[in-house]
Amino acid sequence: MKHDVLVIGMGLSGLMAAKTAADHGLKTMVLGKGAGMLQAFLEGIDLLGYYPEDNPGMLEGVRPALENLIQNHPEHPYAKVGLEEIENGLKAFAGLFGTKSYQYNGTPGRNSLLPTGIGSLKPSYLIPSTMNAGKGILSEPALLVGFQEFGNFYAAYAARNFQRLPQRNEDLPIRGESISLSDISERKAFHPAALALQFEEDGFRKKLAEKIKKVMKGENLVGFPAVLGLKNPENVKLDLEEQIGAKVFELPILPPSVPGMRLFEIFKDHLRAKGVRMIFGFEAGLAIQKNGRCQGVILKTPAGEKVHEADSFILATGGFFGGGLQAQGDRIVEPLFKLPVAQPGARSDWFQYEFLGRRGHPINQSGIRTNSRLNPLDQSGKVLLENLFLAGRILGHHDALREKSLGGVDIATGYKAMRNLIS
Amino acid sequence: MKVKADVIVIGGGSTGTGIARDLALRGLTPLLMEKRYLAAGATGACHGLLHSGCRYVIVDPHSSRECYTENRILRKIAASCVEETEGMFVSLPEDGLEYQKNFLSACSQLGIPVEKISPAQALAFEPNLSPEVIGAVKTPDASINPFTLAAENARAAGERGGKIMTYTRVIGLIVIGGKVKGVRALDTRSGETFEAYADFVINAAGAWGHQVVRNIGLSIPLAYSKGSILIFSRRLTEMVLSRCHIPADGDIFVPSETTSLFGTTSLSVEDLDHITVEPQEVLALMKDLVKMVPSANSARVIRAYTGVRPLFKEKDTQDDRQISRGFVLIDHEARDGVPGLVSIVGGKMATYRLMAEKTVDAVCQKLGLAAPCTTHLVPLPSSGKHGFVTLRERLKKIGPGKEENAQKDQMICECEFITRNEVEEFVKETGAANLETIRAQTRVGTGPCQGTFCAYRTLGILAEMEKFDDPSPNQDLKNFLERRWRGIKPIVGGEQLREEQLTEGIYAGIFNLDKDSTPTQEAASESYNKR
Amino acid sequence: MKKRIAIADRSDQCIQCGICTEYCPVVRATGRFSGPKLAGPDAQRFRRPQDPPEDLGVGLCIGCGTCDLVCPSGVNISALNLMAMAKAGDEKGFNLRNWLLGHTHLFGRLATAFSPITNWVLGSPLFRGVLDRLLAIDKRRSLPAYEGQTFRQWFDGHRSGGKKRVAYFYGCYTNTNEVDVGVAVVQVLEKNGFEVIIPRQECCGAPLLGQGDLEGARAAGNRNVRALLPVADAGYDILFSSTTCGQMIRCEYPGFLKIAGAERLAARIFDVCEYLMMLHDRGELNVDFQPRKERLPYHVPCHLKSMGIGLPALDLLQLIPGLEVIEIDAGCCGLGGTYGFKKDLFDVSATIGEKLGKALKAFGAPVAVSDCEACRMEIRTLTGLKAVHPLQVLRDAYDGSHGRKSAGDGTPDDLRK
Repeated sequence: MKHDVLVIGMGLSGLMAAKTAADHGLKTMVLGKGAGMLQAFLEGIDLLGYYPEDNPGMLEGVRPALENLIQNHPEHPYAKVGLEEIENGLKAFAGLFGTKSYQYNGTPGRNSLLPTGIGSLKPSYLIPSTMNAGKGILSEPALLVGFQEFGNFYAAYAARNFQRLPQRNEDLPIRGESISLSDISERKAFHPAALALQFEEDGFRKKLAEKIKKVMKGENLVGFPAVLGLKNPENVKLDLEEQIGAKVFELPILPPSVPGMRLFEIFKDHLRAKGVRMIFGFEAGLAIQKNGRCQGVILKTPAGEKVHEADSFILATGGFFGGGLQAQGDRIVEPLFKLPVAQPGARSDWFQYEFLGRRGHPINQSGIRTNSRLNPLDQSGKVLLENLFLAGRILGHHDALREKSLGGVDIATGYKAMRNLIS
Repeated sequence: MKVKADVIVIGGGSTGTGIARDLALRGLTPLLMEKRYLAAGATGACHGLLHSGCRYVIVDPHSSRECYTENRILRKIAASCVEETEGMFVSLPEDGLEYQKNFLSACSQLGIPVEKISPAQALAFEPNLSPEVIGAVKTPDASINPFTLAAENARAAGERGGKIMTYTRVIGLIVIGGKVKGVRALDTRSGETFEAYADFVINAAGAWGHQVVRNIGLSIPLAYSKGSILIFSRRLTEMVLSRCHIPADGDIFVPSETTSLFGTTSLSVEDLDHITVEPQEVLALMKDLVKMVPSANSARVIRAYTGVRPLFKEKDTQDDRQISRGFVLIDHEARDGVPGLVSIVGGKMATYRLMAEKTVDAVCQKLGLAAPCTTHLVPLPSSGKHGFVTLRERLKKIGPGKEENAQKDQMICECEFITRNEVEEFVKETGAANLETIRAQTRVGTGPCQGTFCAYRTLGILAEMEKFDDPSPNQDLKNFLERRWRGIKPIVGGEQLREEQLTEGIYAGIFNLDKDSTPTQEAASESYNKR
Repeated sequence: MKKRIAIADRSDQCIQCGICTEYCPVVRATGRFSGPKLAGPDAQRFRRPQDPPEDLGVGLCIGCGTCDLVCPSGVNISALNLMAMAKAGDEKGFNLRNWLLGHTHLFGRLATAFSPITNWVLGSPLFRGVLDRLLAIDKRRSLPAYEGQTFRQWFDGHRSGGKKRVAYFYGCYTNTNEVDVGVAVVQVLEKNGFEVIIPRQECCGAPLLGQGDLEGARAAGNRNVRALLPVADAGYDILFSSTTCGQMIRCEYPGFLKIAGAERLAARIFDVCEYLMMLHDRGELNVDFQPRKERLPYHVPCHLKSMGIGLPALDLLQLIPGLEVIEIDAGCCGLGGTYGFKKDLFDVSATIGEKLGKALKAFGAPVAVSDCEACRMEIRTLTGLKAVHPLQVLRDAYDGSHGRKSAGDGTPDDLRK
């Protein structure tokens, strides 16, 4: 069976590309090696938090910086997409949620401050609605609730740090409480996803709310680790708010990310409903290339190797975490198409002396050079494969972790790559 | 604040803590001051090898015999810190068998029990050994945990009234009437200075020995030799493997708990405070290692660390390895006319007890005390049996899934299977509420992810126990990440590279710690990189 | 200590992301299992060949393979867990219950020969109570009913004809408990011009593997490969209708169990839906289907996900005009082959399957479709719905007999009527 489009990679950029294709009515197939950045780190959708990336001042208004960036950094993925299509991509992403109560919200053109599980703040552009009320942490007394059996969030630690934030009045009370769940959890399962499922049980929430009410001291704002449900997080949040009589929000914590897992399911539901075939859990082997075009991709499964053919392809295999780029000895390579990878000159230049110093690590900028249509280029600037488009981290030429564009680059390039493919 | 004790001991490595214990056993009250955590200096950066002495049989027979005697003693008294792995000296084709011949006869002359075995037998013991091995000799080498060793010695001193102060840096010696009467010290956590007085001061500050006596115009000429070691994510051998040749770089492979340590190098350095593992050291070590253990090529390196051997410069020599690793006791009264102070320098961790014995003998003589040494007879406080603890043993008490106490039993460090309960108990017992010490003593954060998850968890637990005093938000966490990076940057590649992507994704991506306004203290300060 | 063929150990590749543990259906259901990461790559660092097995709850692993699919680092997590389970089994020694659950094929034929009595006994609360007390087979678990005639017996009395020939591996459950599935496979293949042959075959060994009896599984595999390879070498493609048997023969035989010749066999053995779709791609599939205006739910078996061949059953059923088949993505059904029969695991099994049960009930159709017989069993238990194999739907579409009551697609209660 030959598809119109084959998307290689089931991270955020691949899923966004597949959605764009499916919404356009293309016969789409997606191959994914496994989970990745989406399930590990994705909390809010970051568009651009800092510009330049080593400028410690958080961006409030995003537009001017984006325009600057696009103008001054033609190799940056955002420059390949353009401001207008970035906005269209974000709108298309928002369309994923339809009329569902769980949404990703933000103020157009402005970043929001997202309080995190270690008591720090991060600028983010689109925030899950269940995290929204967290903004109030800077101006209201708050209670943070952790769970004794849960090791990925410590309320006392976070509260101490929030208290000392320069953006917060030191006299504004904030404290942490650690609640035991052993007596209210029937299944005695305390990993993040297991907790999230229990939060969706009425009985569990009721008993938890009673425990929380006992330790509240008149706070109007209560924060939880981001485990408030897997399928219906907004309902969980609303119900908790009603039962404890205060605003509720969740905080990003140590991986894996429940919000990221939610988003994965929401994307899959959408794609499934549009008839997109997804094969998940297997690594693609070499691509079959002929006469400047890609013909197919070999999928290596325990049941043998199979070739999947399509008219056009999207390569959204990610970076080192997802496996789209691999460090082999002293060189960084792209394993599927053997595309040339732009990278620091020598291995000794890969990393900085400081881990979280002012400047990011040069290796994180490594990636594939593309033309304005996101086709891969060879060393001389010639298009290597005209029916192959790239999206996401594999594009390199940006440091998503330092400039805080994780999610934004994926959505924008996933969307644009497919739009280029279609046109 | 003024503090008094019988004897002040400066330095909390194996030597300093060994001395404190020896003093206490002889009825004196020691006060030990360590500027960081116990074994944070050369002791913590050692190879973890309880020498059989065989390594030096040809080049330094005296030292060799000393090592062997101490090896026997430590196996008895420090059983809780020693894993009796035994060792093998293996000959590869390029080594020839001539050295082995001399080696065997020298061991025999010195009375060190060794056993020549066939290559086939050697491979049966160690399947990961190179199939090219042409000869092997079984030796009584063993693996020793330097952190618990120092802690146990300190504990023994503490149990007899001694006082141990960590994070306390001696900033000057107090001389009254031409005699050393005490020290001025700085509590590095609170920033307060204080004075401590004693009848005698022992300078066991290792590589920093010179800095301690500087302020009163004395000098201890030391040569610094850096030695780097690679840590592998699993135990690649069960025994200590050494090359049967003239001692050189990269020829010892030591199993240590769930990891393997391979080293070492020998480069002279000038500046104590800026020492890193260099890429060429890593390359050289890997080249040497695969000769002995070929499969190490595809094994995962999780960290590299480096320590400084302080070697006493008796005369100027070029090759650091040639300066004797024997120790020197400097009697400052005799040498400099300043009574009340001795300095102990050089030596090996494996002979720490002997060094302590000689030092305390001298000090007791000066104090007019006729107390004999008993450190070779009295066992260290912990009764636990050390060694590789099988997972079954480890889980017996804590059993995940037993649902007895889901909070206490939850794994804080999943790499090393350490529970919340263990961490809490350690903090309660020792009062040590900082990451470095917890890490060194409980092994939290020493597995493949190198603390990516458990560092935050440990700090969170400390906060919940209200034993946590972070000077500014996430200061300890940031410091930890930088210290951690020192050991990883030299070897990052392969799987460890992906690990670092995860770590950076968490702390920069989720938590925005790179833009945190808190300055990292470790970034500029000493980069002494520990195991 | 038993010496076994070593498996690849990729635990060094684990970067501790913890994603496998989050997606594990057992971890989501109960705190009794440490999780695939702790019991797999984390524990592996500690495991030396001479060490005794540890207790991390590997017996609770349901074998769904989800951990392998989600792992970003290519760690063979479920294999590591399975080796640990085998080692723990060595120490525990022989267990009658597990032996019985692993060797149901031995008494299958006897059970069908006396099926009315068998079914009465298996359905009797008294007997199930005894089973519960003596063998720790949970009495709440409804046991599968046995048919009066085996598939083999039916086939022996049937004359197959066609221009092309293909071989069929039917699997134990089809033979003794769901004969119509096998019948449907044969009929559909014949409708497409095939003569079906049944090569010598025996239980694929999956129930043995799932319990950590590696030797038993390998022995069964050796016998099957010896029997099937000549058939493949003679030019026949071999088809399976049970995704469990299929995954076992195609993936575990050459992979985990390293059975000689298995790789060559794997290249010639196909899922029957996959095979029919291959025909369709070549324009050779008989698409003379009677329209069926209905919405049916389709549940994806875990073993099908582990094969990486996509959803051929879904593709196939979508060729039937008017039929809307919707993939229900509600995770593992919870039966796990022999897993859910065990008293100590029944509750975990039920919790795991809750999501699927709710989703199917909410869907509102009277029948659900799935390629795996265990899933079908569990769907009946969870929802009371009828559960059919995709090929039964296809066969019904060929002859227009939609929704007719097929033998064997009900619970033991059905059969007694």
